[in-house]
Parts: sequence; structure tokens; C-alpha cells
Amino acid sequence: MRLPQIIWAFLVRDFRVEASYRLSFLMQFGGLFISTVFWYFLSGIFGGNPDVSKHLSGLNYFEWVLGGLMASRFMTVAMESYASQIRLEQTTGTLEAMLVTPAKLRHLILASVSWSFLFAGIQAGLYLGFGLMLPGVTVKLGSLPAAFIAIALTVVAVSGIGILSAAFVLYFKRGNPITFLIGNLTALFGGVFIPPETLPVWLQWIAKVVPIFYAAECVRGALFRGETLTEQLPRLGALALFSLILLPTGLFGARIAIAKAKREGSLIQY
Amino acid sequence: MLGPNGAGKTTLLKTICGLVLPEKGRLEVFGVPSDSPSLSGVIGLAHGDERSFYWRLSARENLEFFARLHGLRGSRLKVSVKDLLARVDLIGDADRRFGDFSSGMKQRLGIARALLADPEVVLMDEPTRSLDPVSSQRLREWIAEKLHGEEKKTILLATHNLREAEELCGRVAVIARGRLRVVATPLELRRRGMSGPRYRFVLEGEEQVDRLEHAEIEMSSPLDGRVEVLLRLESDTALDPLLAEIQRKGCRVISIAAEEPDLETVFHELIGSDDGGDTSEAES
Repeated sequence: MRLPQIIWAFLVRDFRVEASYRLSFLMQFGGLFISTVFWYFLSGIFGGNPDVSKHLSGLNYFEWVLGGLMASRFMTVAMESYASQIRLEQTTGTLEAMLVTPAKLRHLILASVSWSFLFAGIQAGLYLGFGLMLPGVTVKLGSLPAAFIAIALTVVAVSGIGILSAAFVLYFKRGNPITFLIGNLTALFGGVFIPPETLPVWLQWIAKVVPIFYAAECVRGALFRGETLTEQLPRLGALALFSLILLPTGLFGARIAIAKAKREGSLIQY
Repeated sequence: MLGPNGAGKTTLLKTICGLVLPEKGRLEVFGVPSDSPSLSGVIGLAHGDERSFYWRLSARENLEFFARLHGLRGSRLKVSVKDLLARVDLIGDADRRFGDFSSGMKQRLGIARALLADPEVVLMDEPTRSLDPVSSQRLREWIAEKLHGEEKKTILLATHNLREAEELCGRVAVIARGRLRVVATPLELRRRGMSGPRYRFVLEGEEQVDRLEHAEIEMSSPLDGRVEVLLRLESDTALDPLLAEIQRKGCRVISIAAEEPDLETVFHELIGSDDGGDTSEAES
């Protein structure tokens, strides 16, 4: 059976589940608006610092952080959703029911997060929409394909870690603690909220070795700095390299963990 | 498959479905290894776990999700789901949330899900585990009359409920501590437990019957001024001499009933033995 059909099954299911929590569904959008306003006011305090603004490549702090927030939505989903979704399916007993269908486990793992990615896209769009409603944000469109490619490559690269984390859940019955560590380190030092150049020198290298730094810069470049695809190529190249390393590593680790769990009969235990 | 908790019934069902790989040996279904993807449409698994659905979704929405994973789509999906809901008598509740279902309805929906690919074999893991006696009986009747009787499905049912095994199964495999002890019809199983016919007598008389020449007294208890005794004979031919002996002792026979050895006794004997049971049958 084809992956798109499985993805469709999950999208329909998750939309129905989400829609059944109507108030919560709507509250999430309210939460995004409040978060945007929060960063807007914070930028008034934090962004006025010349030591910070000189590292924002011509953007104001609110535009800069908006780009980071949009990119980080996808990174967070790619990092955390595979494991949390598998864990949820294990605990509700639905994973076993899925595994006796012709759908392959790797397809199930991939498709199970499709709604989360779709929702991340909606959230990123809403961040931008809410941001534009506030004064001080100027869109200067560059290459949108560059932004989309950057997001796609970030998703692929970080999914390597996310899938490995899901495999950890299947085998060890607990989420991978490394994911938690990587997630927090990345958010703090990866150039989402704080320009890496403002950090101590010995911490600045962290941004260069995490995909989110390049993804956030691509989004900022495409939306607020009017950068072309050619100008974005070095960042896209870095993201492609991350994808080439992280995804096969994640898939390989997941394959070993799943095979072991299957042999031990612990695939659906939690 | 009849066995106590922890016997390995569920593990075996999961191995048949390819959810668990055998540590050694191999398991084939219709000549195909159990973990082969080609078997997914041939075998349907009805889980004992009634939670394995999405509680916020309706019965129809739940089945539609799993039907899509089985490759059904479009009008075929809609028709199949509707047909299955009708077959398990849930069509009137199709749009009710799964969370609002009774345990019996949940079990039937689980069976509907197992039938999505129209499998030849349906595996059932303790289908009446969480049901009250009335619901259990209804479900058993439904399985026997509709699923097996009308739809001619082959059913492999795991249970620790002796009555269920006796009522539903053509053949019973007794499994204990991960080993197959015996495979037989319920009648054959009962006979295995017979070491001579047993009769339950109600006697009336002046004399107390505490020893008999033609039977062994297994149990004796007073009953409204009479006495109820359970007697084991060497063979049925001993019945006439036994009756004569009872009369000679001055007792009157009020009632007499043949006592079938119950499956429970046989079951306890089988699972209590550590010798691996009837290995020739087990291997077959």
C-alpha cells in the first residue's frame, strides 16, 4: 500500500480527533496570537539593544524572531512528534491494531506525524499573519521556494533524530533523553530567539552545527530580506548535508530497534 | 486455545499475525511465513483490548481509518464499513462515539475491524474478557451463529474460559507454560479425564452407606433427611450389581444421574502436568 494513502488516513483521522475538541482547537489559535504579541512587546525591550540589533542582518528583532519561530515549529514537530505519536498509539492499544494491517511500520511512523506537520504549517502561517497585523513588520519577499526547500530539508534532517527517538520508544519504552537535550540546546543556541553572535564565543559554534540555524536564516532571508535562491544556496547546501547524514542514521537505528523489539515481542509493550 | 493466564495464548496469536517473531522454529499460515505481508488480508485479529480504538471518534470513523490502512478507499470503503457495521449489529450506533459504547459493543466493533479485509481466518483474543455474563452469552451466540455459522469464518479463539471453549470450539488446544499440551474436541478432552463412569445418587434409608463393594464413594453428604453420594464405578456393567447392593443395604434410590467429567477437571490435570502433554499431537 502506498504512503500517500496512509498519510491521507492519518490526516482524516487526526482532523476528526482535533475537531472533536472544538474549544481546544480554537484556543490553540488564540495561544499563537498571544505568543506573537508577547514576542512583539519583548522585541521592544530586547531589540533596542544595539549589541543585539547589529547581529540581525538588517531586520528588527521582532522580524528576526518571527522567522525563527516559523522555522522552529517544523523542527519541534520533526524532533518530538514521531516518538510522542508512537507512544500515544502504544498506550491506547491502536499501534497493535495498525500493525496487523498491510501498512508497513515505517510508513505508519512517517504518516502518523502528517497532521502535526500540516498543523505546524498552519501555525507558521498564522505567526506571519499575526505578525503582519502588528506595526513594524515589513515583508520583503525573496525566493519563497528557497524557504520551502529549507523547511523541507530541515524536516528531513531533524526527522532522522525524531525517527530514532521513536525507535527508542519502541525498544526502550521511554523517549530518547537525547532528543530533549538536543531540542532545548537547539532552541537556546541555534539562533531562534537569540542571535548566536551575542553568545559567548565558546557557545557560538553550536548554531553552526544544528539545522534550525540555517532554516531560520532561510525563512528570514526569503520573507524579510528579499534574498534570492542563489544567495540562499550555501544554507540550503548545509541543510542538504545534514539531511544526508541524519536521516539515514535515524532510519538505520530505527531499523535495528524495530527488528529487536519485534524479535523480543515488545513492539507494542509500553 | 485454552490456557491459564500467562500460558502463551496471546503471544501465539501475535506470532501468527507477525507481530512477534518466533525465537526458534517457524510459523506458517497457509504455507506462508507468519511475518509475510501477504498474510495481512488473510488473517484478521480481534483484540481482547477494548481500548484499541479512538474514543473521540464514532464507530464509523474508527472503522474508516482502519479500512484506509487496509487499502480501501472511495465508495468501496464506505460500502464495506456500512456493511460491517450492519453485520455486527452496530449500524444504528454507527455515528455514536466509541467512548460511549458498552463493552459488548466495543468488542463487536473490534470484530468488525478484524473483518475489514474479509479474512479467511479470524483470531480472537479473549473476546468476552470484560463482559458481564449476559453480554458474554450474547456475543458467544453471535460468534457461533453468525460469524462461524453464516459467514463460515474459521475462528481461532484464545480463552481461559472453559465454558467458552466448550460452547464455541470444534477443537480445543490446551496450552500451558508456553507449550501445547493437547489438541482434541471438547468431548475427547472430557473422555481423557474419565477413569470410570461416575453417578450421582440420592438415597433414602435407615442404614448409612459408607462403603460399597461395586463402587468407590467419592463424596457423601446429607440432603433433607436423605443422602447424596457420588460414586465412581469401574465400568457401566457394574451399575446393576451396584443397584442390587444398595437395595440389599436397605436403601431406596430416589434419583440417579450420570456425572460427566467436567472440562475443568481435565484442564487442571493437563495444565498441572509438567511432562509436556501429548507431544505427538502438539507437534502436529
